[in-house]
Amino acid sequence: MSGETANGVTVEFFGIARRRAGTTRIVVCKGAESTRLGDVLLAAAEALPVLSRECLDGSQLREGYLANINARRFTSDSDVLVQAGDHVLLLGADAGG
Amino acid sequence: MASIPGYHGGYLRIDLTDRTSQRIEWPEGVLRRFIGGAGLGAWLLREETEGEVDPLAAEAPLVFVFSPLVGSPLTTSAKFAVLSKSPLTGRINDSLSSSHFAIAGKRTGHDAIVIVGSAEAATTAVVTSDGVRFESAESEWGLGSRETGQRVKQRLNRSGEGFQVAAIGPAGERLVRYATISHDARHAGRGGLGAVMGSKRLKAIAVAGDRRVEFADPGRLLEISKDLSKRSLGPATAKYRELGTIDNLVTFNRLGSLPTRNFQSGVFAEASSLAPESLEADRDRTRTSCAACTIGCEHIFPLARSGDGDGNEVGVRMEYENLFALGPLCGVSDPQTVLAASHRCDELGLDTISTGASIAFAMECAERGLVEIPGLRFGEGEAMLGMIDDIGHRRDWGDMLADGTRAAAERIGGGSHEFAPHVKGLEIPGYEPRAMQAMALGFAVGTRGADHNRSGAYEVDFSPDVDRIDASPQTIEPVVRVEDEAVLMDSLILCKFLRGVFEDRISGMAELLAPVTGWDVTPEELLETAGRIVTAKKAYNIAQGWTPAEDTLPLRFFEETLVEGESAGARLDPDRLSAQVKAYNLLRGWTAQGYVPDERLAVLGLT
Repeated sequence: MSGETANGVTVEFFGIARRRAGTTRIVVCKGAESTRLGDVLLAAAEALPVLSRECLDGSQLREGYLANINARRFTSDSDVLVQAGDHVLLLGADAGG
Repeated sequence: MASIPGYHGGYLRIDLTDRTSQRIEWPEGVLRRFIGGAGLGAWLLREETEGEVDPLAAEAPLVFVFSPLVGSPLTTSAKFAVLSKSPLTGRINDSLSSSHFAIAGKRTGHDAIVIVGSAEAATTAVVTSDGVRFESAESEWGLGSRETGQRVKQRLNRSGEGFQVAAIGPAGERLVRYATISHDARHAGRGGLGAVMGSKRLKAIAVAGDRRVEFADPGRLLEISKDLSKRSLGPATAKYRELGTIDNLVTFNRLGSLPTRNFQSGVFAEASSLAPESLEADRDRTRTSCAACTIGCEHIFPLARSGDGDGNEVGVRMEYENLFALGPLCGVSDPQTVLAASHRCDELGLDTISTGASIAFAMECAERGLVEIPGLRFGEGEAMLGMIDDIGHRRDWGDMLADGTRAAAERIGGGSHEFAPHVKGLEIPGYEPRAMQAMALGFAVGTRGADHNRSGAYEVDFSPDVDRIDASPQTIEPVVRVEDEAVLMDSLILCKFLRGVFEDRISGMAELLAPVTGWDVTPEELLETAGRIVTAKKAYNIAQGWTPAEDTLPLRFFEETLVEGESAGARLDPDRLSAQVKAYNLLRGWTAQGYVPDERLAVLGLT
């Protein structure tokens, strides 16, 4: 098992998700080389059940939320593949200010 | 013209020079074609302007416009637009503000108030259902907008008339080219409307009345208002309710899109010190809302830390834009300093974005040795606070910076125009254009310059549809779409924080307009209306001397690559942006260069 695989996927929380999670980040899916975004979200919801109330619905993002892979690519597609070592940002879909 | 539900049927034209006023009825068809707010204001500005005009000349019109939705039970509808030719940009400027002034203003019995001329001495215009009277404002001249508003209200409301007041602060009196017009600590902030008001020696305008409009289908209106209010309390607005827009700062920093040290970087190493958690750590935050709003996005922080005593009673409304502009953009990380800076801008009546950007620009000029301004360097909070005062009072270097970064760069020289952060003279808000390239296009083509309220193109960047640092041709249509949505929201008028509650925004707005006005508007008609209003603004600019060369960004964004954070490597490609601007123009029905053909004007009824 490579170091990156062992590190799993880091889920970072922003905005309301951060407030609900009560933390800035967690690491999930340790041991997998690649996994679906939906499985990453599911693992995050299992680790922090409070997320299921508002941000996540199983392996899906709830309305008003968006994921971003490695601070570059935005997606709401649960089937997108995420690699070990990647960072998934969970944030509100509205960037207005 | 037959009376149209939601409207009073005409506007009031006040001439300050000869102290007269005149009621003018709307021509047939104008209301449906321009709706209200920014749209109707664009029509009025074109009507009231002959040839090129000096925005600070007596004859230049200043326009306050209400909307058909004001006074209805629809959430977030208590808003008004203020328009003029901008003394900062020389182009059209429409700025929106909110709350009780909109409701009281519409109760005067007019859908808009146009002000021309110039008073001989400091004046307050008092507008009621019975007409206009003019009072001396000599005793308020020199006061902040908040205190002015309080004093005028106290004086006028002795008999309980319910006057509401919009006023300027010292910056407006001194014609600072990004001075605001303020009401109840909310601001028509951008582009220098306060300077236009100051040039007319109009310190304040007070409004009250008892005229109410009829609505076409009150039962249906109540029904959809209740539904909209319910939806406005859902997840789409949770960020605004719980955290406020200041929450953007941490997210943007993570994405490498937080403008820092005059747009030299997209990352601010000390961003966490300005995060909502940090601001809340030793301060009791409170929350409030505009009149007729269920969202309540306004997060107020005490000026002093809990237990500090003096100043704790003074609240400062913090938004992302003042936080970024007076924080990272100037390299300042101390929350107390940023709160104090924001408060000073509010009191003086200064647009926080242009103020922060002008000071950040001066800081970079100083660090490059182009100017010698004692102590003014990135991160020096006290120097920033002092410069805000100097700008507001046009003292020393502040006098030069009071004209904005474009004018300052012309005077400083030394190539500083390459990093003066503006488009068409309007300072760039808190969206790093290299890291958000759909937004870069939105900035470039914006009729009032770089602006996040007229173009919501950041939504395109924050979507799965595009690569935000490598924008493709697919960007163009969504950029037009969000600009159309914005111009409609600014014309109905609705708060943009409602955007997320509509499944389809255009259809949603058509649905709201029908029971108010009785018009069977379709989404297609509304989209055509959006195109008409954007084109009317463009036609105004062309008449005021616009050239295609203005539709671009400063050289920095093309020549300097971002080197830090998650947007490292990003820069704008001039050829690509130029091609996108041309494609945008063609999609609008204009020439590739951005001129509006006569046939297009005719089709839209703009001749």
